[in-house]
Amino acid sequence: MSSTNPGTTRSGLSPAAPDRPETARPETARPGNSPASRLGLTQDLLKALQRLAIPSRRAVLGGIAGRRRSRRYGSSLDLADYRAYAPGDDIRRLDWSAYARLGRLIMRLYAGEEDTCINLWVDTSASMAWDEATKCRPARAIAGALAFLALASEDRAACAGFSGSVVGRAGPLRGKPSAPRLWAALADFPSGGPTGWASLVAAIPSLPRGISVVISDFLADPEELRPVFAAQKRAGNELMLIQVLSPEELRPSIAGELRLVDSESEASVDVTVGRAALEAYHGARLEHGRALSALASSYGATLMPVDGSLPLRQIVLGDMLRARVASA
Amino acid sequence: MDLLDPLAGLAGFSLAAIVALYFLRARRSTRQVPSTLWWRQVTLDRQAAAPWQRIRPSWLLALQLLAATFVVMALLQPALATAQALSGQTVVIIDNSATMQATDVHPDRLAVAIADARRLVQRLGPRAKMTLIAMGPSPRVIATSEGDRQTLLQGLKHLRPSAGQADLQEALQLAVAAAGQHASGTRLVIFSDGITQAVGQPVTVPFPVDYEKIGVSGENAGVTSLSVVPGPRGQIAVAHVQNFGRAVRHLTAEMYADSRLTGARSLDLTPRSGEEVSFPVPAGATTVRVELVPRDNYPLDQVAVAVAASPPVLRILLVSAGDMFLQNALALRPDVQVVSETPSAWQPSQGSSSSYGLLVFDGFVPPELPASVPYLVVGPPPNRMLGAGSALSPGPLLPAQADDPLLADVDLANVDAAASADMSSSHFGSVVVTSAGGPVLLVRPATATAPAAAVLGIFLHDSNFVLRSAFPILITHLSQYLAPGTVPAPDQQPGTPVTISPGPGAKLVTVTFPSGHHEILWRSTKETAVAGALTFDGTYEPGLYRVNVAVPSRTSTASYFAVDVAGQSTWPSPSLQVRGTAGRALPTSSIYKSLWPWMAGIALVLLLTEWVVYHRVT
Repeated sequence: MSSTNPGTTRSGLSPAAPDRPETARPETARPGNSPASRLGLTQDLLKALQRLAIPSRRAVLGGIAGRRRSRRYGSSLDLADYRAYAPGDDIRRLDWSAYARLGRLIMRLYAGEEDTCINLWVDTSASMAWDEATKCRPARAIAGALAFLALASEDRAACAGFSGSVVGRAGPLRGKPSAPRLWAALADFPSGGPTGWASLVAAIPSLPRGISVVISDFLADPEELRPVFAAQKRAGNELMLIQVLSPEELRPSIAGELRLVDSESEASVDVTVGRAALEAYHGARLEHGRALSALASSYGATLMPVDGSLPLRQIVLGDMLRARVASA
Repeated sequence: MDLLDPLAGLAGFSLAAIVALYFLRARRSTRQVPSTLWWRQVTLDRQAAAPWQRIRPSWLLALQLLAATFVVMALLQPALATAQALSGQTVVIIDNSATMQATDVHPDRLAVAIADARRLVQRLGPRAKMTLIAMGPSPRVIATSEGDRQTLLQGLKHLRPSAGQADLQEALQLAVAAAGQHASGTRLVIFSDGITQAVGQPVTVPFPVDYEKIGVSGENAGVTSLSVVPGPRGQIAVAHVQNFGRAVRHLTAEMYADSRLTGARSLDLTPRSGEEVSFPVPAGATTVRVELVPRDNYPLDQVAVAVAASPPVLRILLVSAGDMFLQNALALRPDVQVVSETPSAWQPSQGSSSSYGLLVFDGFVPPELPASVPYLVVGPPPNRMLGAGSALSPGPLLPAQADDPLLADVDLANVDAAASADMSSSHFGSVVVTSAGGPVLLVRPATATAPAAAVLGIFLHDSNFVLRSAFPILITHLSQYLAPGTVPAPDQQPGTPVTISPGPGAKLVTVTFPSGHHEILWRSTKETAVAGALTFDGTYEPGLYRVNVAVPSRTSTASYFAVDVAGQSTWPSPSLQVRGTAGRALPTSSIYKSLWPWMAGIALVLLLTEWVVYHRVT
């Protein structure tokens, strides 16, 4: 006899209360014990995510049947091509009407559908941990949402945290029931340390080929990121970049004579923060964004900036759709 | 504007310090950020990171410099010198004599002098000492204080005009006494019109003197004298009217007898000229008053009062075998009537009778000395009560005490006496005239239980004393000492003490002032049964005074005396007969109005503005 637990989904998930708005902000999220709650993923949000998918720009070359068009011929209903019959071919795919007209045996080939692996690379460095509410938690919540999106789309999903090295990983996993394991891993990645892009480069081949989503603040010279992009390309991954920034980074509220200390390198910068300095700061931020976007474009990657202070539902169902990181 | 603390200008270095702080790298508070990637791009940061930076135009810097400037200015204690403060010791003489009541300055000279003195008091420094002296006929210290202005202001508030003439010499003596040992730090300021009693030669005082002349005009005509004299058909009031001004005066002299207008004369007085006017005095009139109209700047001398009624007669009983010299000498006083009788006719009851004001025993001593009537014994026989012994040759007569008023104008140098009673063992009284043989003249004042008395030891018949002019003068002096006139001479000067002798048996003596109020001068008690000579010193009010003597055995007697302010010039004197040390009396340290609170207030406002600007900008 089966019973339905109001707090448990059919997939065995324990999301946060559905009547509470999902938000990445710590003051509105009420963390619970379940991995979904710890990431701020509510049942409403997960239901909405089930209607979405992560698009890919090219045919995949997976190993397991899935929903994505594969570069191999398969058994879907979509006719893909014809070829001459060869002994041993499945005679159920012979085109009899063509044989009647042409007197030659021609095989009908159908498009294949395979899955892909969504590799979620989450930056856990000190700069991301600087603001738990508007950087660290939103980044992991976005990764959790994408992981669920992948699993709900019959894709595989894997996640890894990195800073100076890979601090943890989970997957690849398949099927929605595996989502809590990924969420738990995402929630448990330790934070801190400097960002080591080289560690990411080294770890890329360790995950299956698929779609790589790097979630970070990307507070580095774009040229430092180039090896990451190149490694992803070499690995045959599609690349998506999600840049999570806190409001303090987008709109600094500091003022006066300050010595600013970098949270990772401990390097300091003396500044006199006034109107002019803030204007220069915003100019530098925008320039950095443009350079990062250009670099991403050159590698066929998608860059999606995210304001970490926005509600998670707005980020996932709004910003990600607009940026084509997800599609309906 | 002066700076009270110029050394505080060193605080001006704080301005340089503020500018230097702007040159120097600012001390910054540390703030951790996720990354300094974008901050490193800030151009201004690179400038701020330099140890020295080029100073940039800044509202904050301007406001801070302005605020610091005003703080420094406040520390400098800028002040405006508003007046000169008095330090050390200041003696202020304020003339309150009669002429200071002249109204040529508004409201009158004394009020102006008091106002000037009040301003001087207000300038008194915190530890300065000031002594105020009123310079009337009898100068007196009215207030002295060290730093307490209220005491001095109260003294000025209660200063009243007097009717007499200022005694400059005595006022200066008071000033010197007030200066005490600190003459070097003393200054003297005299507020006066310069009309004072005559000073023979300039008085020198050991400190600087400033004479502040009060008054501008002396246009004044007044009655200089008024007397009632016998005329061919009764008494005549004779008044002398003098024009002290520089303009012709057209006046009317009105004569009142007992407040009733009885006559008037028009007078045209050329400058500095006088004229006598006379009016018949109606029979029975007690007083006469002459007034000049219209009034001028000095109304005090435009009214004169005189007594027309004859004064009460003092009866003197001479008990003598017969001495014409003595009788004539006693009769020289105009207010006496001398009655003679022989020693055999003497009745002991006469010693306490109120019929006589003075008893004179010549060569005779009654068995009992008079108990209440003053007496004079001349040439007494040996008598135990008087302490008189047998006759001796006294030798040259000498004053026992210099400047004894009884011996005023009495020349004893050529007086020879062959015989005098031996008074060497007498304790009768104080010695007035002495000789080689002992005391010759002794007097004793009235006491509560005994009348005044005197003993002249010289036997007049054995002396040329009666032939000398000194004799009637001495006898008159003794007569006046023992039995002063009930009413003194009618023309009293303001401030002059008046001696009143109510006579034997008087129980109550009251004086009625011209203003109408009464003062009990003497009242008989068990302890003071005999009035003796009474001194009334309240003659500061010009006009007619009435003296009422109540004697139980007879009806009360009223007598009068007048106090007149004699007409005089009221032209302010340009200088005083005072010579001080060099230098001005008044220049002293300044009284400053501090401006530092304003500076501090402006600095505070600037700091608040700087705070607002700082928070607006950042």
